This record gives sequence, structure tokens and C-alpha cells, in this order.
Amino acid sequence: MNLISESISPLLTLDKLELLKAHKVLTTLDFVQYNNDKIANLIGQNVSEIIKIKDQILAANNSKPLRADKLYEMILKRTTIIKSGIDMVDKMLDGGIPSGRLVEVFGESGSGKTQFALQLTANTALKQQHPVCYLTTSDAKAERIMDIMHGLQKDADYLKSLERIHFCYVNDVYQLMEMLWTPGMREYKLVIIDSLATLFLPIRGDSFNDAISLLNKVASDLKRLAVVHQCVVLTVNHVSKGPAEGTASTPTPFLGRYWSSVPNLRLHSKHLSKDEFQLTVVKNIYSPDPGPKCSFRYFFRSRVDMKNECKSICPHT
Amino acid sequence: MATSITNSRPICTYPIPMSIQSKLSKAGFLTTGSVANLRPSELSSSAEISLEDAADVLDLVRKPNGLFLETKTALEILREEQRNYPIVTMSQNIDKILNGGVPLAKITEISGIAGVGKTQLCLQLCVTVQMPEECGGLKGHAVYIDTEGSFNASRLQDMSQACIEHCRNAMNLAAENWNLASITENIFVFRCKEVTELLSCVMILKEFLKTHDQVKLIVIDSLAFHFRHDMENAALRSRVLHKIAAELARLAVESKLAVVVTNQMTTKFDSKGQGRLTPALGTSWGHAPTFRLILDWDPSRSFRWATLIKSSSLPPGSAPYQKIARVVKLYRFSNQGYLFPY
Repeated sequence: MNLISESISPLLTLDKLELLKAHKVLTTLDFVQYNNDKIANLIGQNVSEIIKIKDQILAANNSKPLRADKLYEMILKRTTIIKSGIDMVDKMLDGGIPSGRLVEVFGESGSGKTQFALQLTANTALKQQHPVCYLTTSDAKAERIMDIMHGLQKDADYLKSLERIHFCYVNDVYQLMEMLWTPGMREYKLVIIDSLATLFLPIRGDSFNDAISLLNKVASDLKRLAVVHQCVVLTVNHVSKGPAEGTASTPTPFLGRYWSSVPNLRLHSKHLSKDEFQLTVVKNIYSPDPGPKCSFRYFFRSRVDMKNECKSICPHT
Repeated sequence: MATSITNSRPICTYPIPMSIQSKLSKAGFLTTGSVANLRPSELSSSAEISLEDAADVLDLVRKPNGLFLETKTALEILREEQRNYPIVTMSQNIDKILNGGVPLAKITEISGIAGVGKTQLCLQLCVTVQMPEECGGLKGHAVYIDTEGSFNASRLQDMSQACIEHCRNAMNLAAENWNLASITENIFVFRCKEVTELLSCVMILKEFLKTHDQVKLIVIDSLAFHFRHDMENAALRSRVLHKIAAELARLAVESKLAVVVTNQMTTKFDSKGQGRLTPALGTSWGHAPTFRLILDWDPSRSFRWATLIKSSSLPPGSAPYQKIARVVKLYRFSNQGYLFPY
């Protein structure tokens, strides 16, 4: 939707635009919606001319139809599959997460949400060699990424892979949106927001920053990012209320009912015991059978290994 | 230079007050591109907003994208992390489960029942953070935000004395290098008697840190106290709590300092009506700290356990229980052959 201007039609001269402006016809949408006879009267033109201008506006704003088979070819060409590097998880996700999707992982504190995000980050940067953007609301866990990379592959070029990962600290919702609109975002194949809930918790129920409408904007920005730049967007979310202990049902994710319809794929993360975790597909709009589950282990290295490795990267001065 | 992406960015994604935004959208200005080439006076007259507001909007919209926030690669952060030594607690086993001590640039939570030694541990950290570098310390200052009135200056003196003696005896620190007076001088105590004071104190810390850039540790003892007593309105409570959490996370990262908060314990009932002790402040708070440590008495009450219930670099439960000596005598314990990590 644009402001109406002379460029739309030679009949719309400056003085006529002023007249329209005085009657609150400002944008092309206002123009198309306005009564034909009234506009004709207002600017002294035939009704048929007005209809012609309206048709021109509609034609200019129309998106061209695409054939489904061409679209399919295009998707095949542009899609990247982001993998976690854990066989069980990738199998559960039918090979990985195709680009263009908005994925959410949620769970209680310490349930492995961030571990999953870090696992995807490490694998994408190391094995698939794609750049990754990690937007964090708390701290950057670079050491843990290094750790996971060791579990994925021995003796790889870790330094180069670490340079593919860009961390950014975001402190409020507007900083997040600023970041999402940065032209540099198109470089990344995986964008992680850890965590979205933390950004909204301090403003929940706040009338100045209407949290719902902000969430709305963030949701559409995230979808745009995923589809336009063909990347996977992963958001990390909390749970609002856990199920009663002992029951099999999964808890409800935080951020409310509106948000629950936004992600294409939703995973529930749970800590079982020691290094064993479980991921459950709670929602998947592309798969007929929801609810596959898998339990697996994240790779944890011994402390001594970690210390030695870090020394070799960054010799103490 | 604006690219096509930035031109199509909706104005509503900028931090502009709702009243101005609705006037802009009524006047048909919906994307950055539609206002980018206007003068403030033009925007002001056509959107019916004041000239100052129009100038502010244009300033905001024309700000070159990407300068607003900087990104760092994981490698840069890893190198930084390696340079930031943690604050040793002087309790061998707590240091062990925390991988060397309380980390900088992260939030660590210590919870436990009353009298288990949370405050003692915090006071001790205020001393150990000041240890000279040759003894494995950071030579940093400490901020102590006291909500319960539990800050005990004479206890601090004892600890400082013991710590100095330990450094001199066990690590041959020269006598002139560190003294008692400098320890107490470099601990800044804020007393917060209610929630508003706590919130304002945390919000102005940023200014305080500008003039005190040596601060390497912020302690809040305890975070839970006012939230459990003063606040009836649950929504407001969670908003204030998370505002504090967000600000602490920001301070920790920006100023590269350790944030330690203590928390109380509460009883949570499961479906069978069985009570279990968990840290207070609710489930959503649990996401804020990077490390969560619970201190608890052994049933015999002769020693304590430290349990790490959340950590990003360790599998939960891998080193769940560590027997720790009486926290009040930690520095004695460290005399018994405890080697410093560095």
C-alpha cells in the first residue's frame, strides 16, 4: 500500500491530489475503496476514467500467479535442510528442518531447550558450513558450542566454524525487530532467538508496550525472515504451566494462544536423566502423524579435555 | 543509503509511541520508504504531529541499520571467555562443580533453606573477588545489594582477615600487597527495604558502574525476599521480577561481571500431594540464571550438599551432589591442600 502520487495516472495532477487529501484519500487503498461517483465529482472526471485508474492500481499491486510445478522446482532449488547432527532427532524430523520454517522448542528451565539450539548451531556451522545468527537474551555460550563441535567431528577446523556463528545480545523487543530488519540477516541460514519469552516477560500486561500487538509484529517479522531469506528460524520458549506431575500430557508453551498458532513446527524438550533428553513433536503442520518422540543424549566432554582445548585456542598471556 | 528491504520496513516495528504511530498510519505513512525523503516540517503537517515528534521519527527511521546492535562471532566470545577467569569461592567442591568458580558475564543463583549459608557464601565471594591476581583472584570490587538486612560487617572482617592470612601463608603474598582496609573499602553495600527500592537500585547500577569500572561482582541477597512478602499482584510481581532479571543479564554481559542472586526455597506439591522443596520465585524465573545451585543440609547436619540443578556446559545431574565443608569455615577448608586452579 502506497501513498497516491502523480506517477499513478496523468489525470491525477497535484491540485487534484490536494483535493483528495482533504477528503482523507491518502493511499492507493483509500482510493480503491472510495466510492466511484464521489471521486469523479471531487476531481471532475468521468466515472469511467476513475474505474480505469482503479484497475491500474489493482494491476500494479497484483502478484503474478505461479504454476505449482514451477514453485515446487524453485523450492527444491532454494531449500536447505538444517540438521541437528543427532541421528535420532534428524530421523524424527524426516531428515532435518527445511528452510523457510519457523520452529519453536519449549520446555521448563534446565530441560535442554538451549542445548537443542546450540546443537543446531554447532552442526550447521561445522558440518553444513552455513552462517548462523544467534540472538540471545542472556549470555553467549561459545564454550559449549566448541564442546558440541568436538562431539560432532574430531579434528575439524573449529576456528573457521566458530567464526561462522554470530552472537548478538538483544535486551528488548524493539532491538529484536531492529535486528530482524538488518540487511545482513539475509546471509544466515539459521537464526536462533533464545529466548523469545524472556523479551516478553517484563512487558506482559503493560499498556504502554501493548505486548500482544508487539508479539503480532514479531511473529510476522519472523515469518517474513524465514520465507524471504529461506532460513530456519528457531525460537526458544518457556512453559506457562506444567502438567500435574505423573500425567503424560505436555505442558502449555508460554506467550499465549495467539502465538501457539505461529510456529510451523513445535518441539517439547524434556530432561530425563543425566545426559539423556527427550524431544517430542507437539505440532507439525507438514506431517500427518503428529507426536513422534525420541530420546537421545547430548554430547558432554570431560572438563580436562575442555580446558586443554581452550588453552590451545587462546594461549594465556 | 537505504536498500529496498529497509524501505519496506513497517513503521510500526520502530519504538515509536502508539499515539504518534496511529497518527502516522492514519495519514498513510506505513513504511520507512514513505517517510524517508520527507522533511520534518512536511511530515509534521501531513500527519498532524508536532515538529519535534516528526524530527524524532525521521531520526529513528533514517538511522543506518545494523549500527544499532553489534554482533560478535563465537570465536571472539570464546576468546573473551577464556580471558575472564571465574571468581573462586574457596570451597574446593563448589569450585569444582562450577568449573573453577562463579563465572563472569553470567547470572548464578544460590538457593537454600534459611541458615544453610547462602549469605556466608555471598560475603565470601565479596572477599575472594578482591584477591590479587597472583593468588588467582580478579582484583575486582563488589556490589552487595542487601534486601534482608543480613549484611554482617564484622563477619566480613573475620573472613577478610582469614583470606589475607591464607594468601600470605599458602601463596607467599607480599605483606604490602593486600590489606584489610582495602577490602572493606571496595565493597559497596546498597540497602533496599522494599521492591521499589530494589528495582530502582538495579536500574541505576549501570550509572554506578560507569564510575566504578573495577566492579566484578554484583550480589543480591536475597532476590526473593521482597517478592515473597510485599507483592500481592501476581502480574505486577512477575513484570518487576523479569525487568530486574533482564537488566541483570545486560549488566553481566556488558560490564563482564558476575551476578550472584540468592533465592529462598518453597514447597511444591505434586499430584499425589507430596511436598518437595524447590527454589522460590516460580518456574519462569528459573530460565534467567545460567547456573542454579542449591545448598542443603545433610540429615546428620554435620555437613552440607551443593547440587547443581541447571548448567549450560554440564549435563544436569552429572555431578549433582558434592559434599561441602561448613560454609562458615570455608577458608579453613581451603588451607587443607586445596590447589588454586590457576
